[in-house]
Amino acid sequence: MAAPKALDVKNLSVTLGGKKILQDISFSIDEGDFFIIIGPNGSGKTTLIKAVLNLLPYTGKVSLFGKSVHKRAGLGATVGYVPQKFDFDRTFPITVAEAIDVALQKGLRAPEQRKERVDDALGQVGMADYAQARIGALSGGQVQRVLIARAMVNQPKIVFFDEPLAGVDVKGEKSFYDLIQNLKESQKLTVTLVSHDVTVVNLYADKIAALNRTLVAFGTPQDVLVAQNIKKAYGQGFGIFRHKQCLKKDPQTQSPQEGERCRLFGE
Amino acid sequence: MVELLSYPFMQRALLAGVVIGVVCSFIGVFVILQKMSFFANAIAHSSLAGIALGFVLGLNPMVTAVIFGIIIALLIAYLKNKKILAVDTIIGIFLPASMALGVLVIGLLDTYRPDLLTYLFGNILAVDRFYLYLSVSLGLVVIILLSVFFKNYMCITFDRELAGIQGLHVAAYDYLFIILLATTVIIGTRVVGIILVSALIVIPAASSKNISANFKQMVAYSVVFGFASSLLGLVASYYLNLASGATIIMVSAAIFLITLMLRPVVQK
Ligand SMILES: Nc1ncnc2c1ncn2[C@@H]1O[C@H](COP(=O)(O)OP(=O)(O)O)[C@@H](O)[C@H]1O
Ligand SMILES: [Mg+2]
Repeated sequence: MAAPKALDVKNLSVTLGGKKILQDISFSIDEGDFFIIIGPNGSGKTTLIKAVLNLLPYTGKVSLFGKSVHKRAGLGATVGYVPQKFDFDRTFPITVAEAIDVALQKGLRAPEQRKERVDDALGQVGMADYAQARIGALSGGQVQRVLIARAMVNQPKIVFFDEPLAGVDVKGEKSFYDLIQNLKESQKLTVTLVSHDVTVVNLYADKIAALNRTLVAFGTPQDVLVAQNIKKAYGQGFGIFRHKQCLKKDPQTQSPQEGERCRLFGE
Repeated sequence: MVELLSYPFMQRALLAGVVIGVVCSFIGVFVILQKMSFFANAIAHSSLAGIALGFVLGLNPMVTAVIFGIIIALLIAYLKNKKILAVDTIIGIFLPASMALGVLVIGLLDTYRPDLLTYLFGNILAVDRFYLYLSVSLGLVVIILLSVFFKNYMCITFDRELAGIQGLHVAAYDYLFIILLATTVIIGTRVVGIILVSALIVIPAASSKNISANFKQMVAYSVVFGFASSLLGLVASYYLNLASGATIIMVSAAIFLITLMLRPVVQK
């Protein structure tokens, strides 16, 4: 029997407030895939992720590793999620360690073990010194890193990053991709990422979905990133533009280097 | 203090007062972080109608008030979830309407006209054996359930989406919380009164928030402040011959002022 798909979406449609947001989306990705969702603002990328995580009502079928997500139990330990927008009350008296601990699976009981896991997760994102800081006192970029640590704390099999690098500087961006690449190799992590950065897509993606309310294109970067699909998703006047900036894959280490970078840009 | 404790009515008052202080300040942490204090206030005001209902039906008015309060609270929550009206509008309708209903019904009772002021401002000295048992047992239920589900409520309060991904049935937890809150508010009205009970929920938690570095501290300080406000307030009201509910709230307000001044020191 073939291994179950990491994520299998069949005929997914989402209607919110009487408005059809997503229509008849079907695709699947394998375990260990780096899957990137592209599409213009308002195309339904966030909605797709939330539906997959059972945070929104939808029709159709979604399975993670062969299990339907309609059954609530267990999703928390398998899945990590970094939301696009994390609105929280900055006066909330909660430390970074507490905020991550609430996400840690309940099965892990021993306090030392829990603390170790929380500290490990914070260490991975370079926030080890901030465990006892109030989360409301952190900068936007630091909060983002804490959220990434939180998504990783259960050693999930699949993570969903919804534009995780908004507000993170170039250095942070590089270490983010290094981290993900590392985890992907060491833990067979499956990664789903929403990004506008075509360079990133070219460098890392095993599969891409171009989304605009419907699934415009799905497949490998070579298949999907052709002008025709980009125009279909983003509209006429859009294409792939190159400009010199930061990211290029180092041929030896496979990690991103200073160099050329391309983005999707309109005219 | 020894003299004070020799009166059975004062023993009951102190025990009930302290339990109410602890329960209100514990649940208060979640109430202020979820910005639900107006909600608590609306439930408090519905208790008058619930009490009147008890007199009309010949049942114990505290029992009918708790049940009526829970029903009103669930109704408000249901309408809020429907997203047809803003929460403050819903509360702006329910609070005065249920209050008016209570005033009218109590006025119509000609056999027995309980003193409205007692309900509005509370009367700790009217704590009878039945109320003591009722408030202590319901108070314990609230404390136990909040403690058992502590982490889940902490998660829901901080990040509802995360709670959803963890498989928590967030809507069910919300409704349970509303039932616990309504129960707390209604049993609290007997001690500090309809008008002041939401203060006993909000002020200790707000005081604690001023000086807390983490969530566990916020809960611990809040409960200590609620306990101290009730105890000190009751003792002071006895010796100074002051209204008990009002004295309790003034003590908690004084604690709030102190923590407000300590805030810059503690939060650096
Ligand atoms: N709760 C909602 N009710 C109605 N419309 C919504 C809701 N949430 C999102 N939308 C709409 O769905 C569309 C897609 O939103 P979103 O998934 O956030 O897009 P993206 O993440 O691709 O920018 C937008 O037009 C947005 O206005
Ligand atoms: Mg989005």
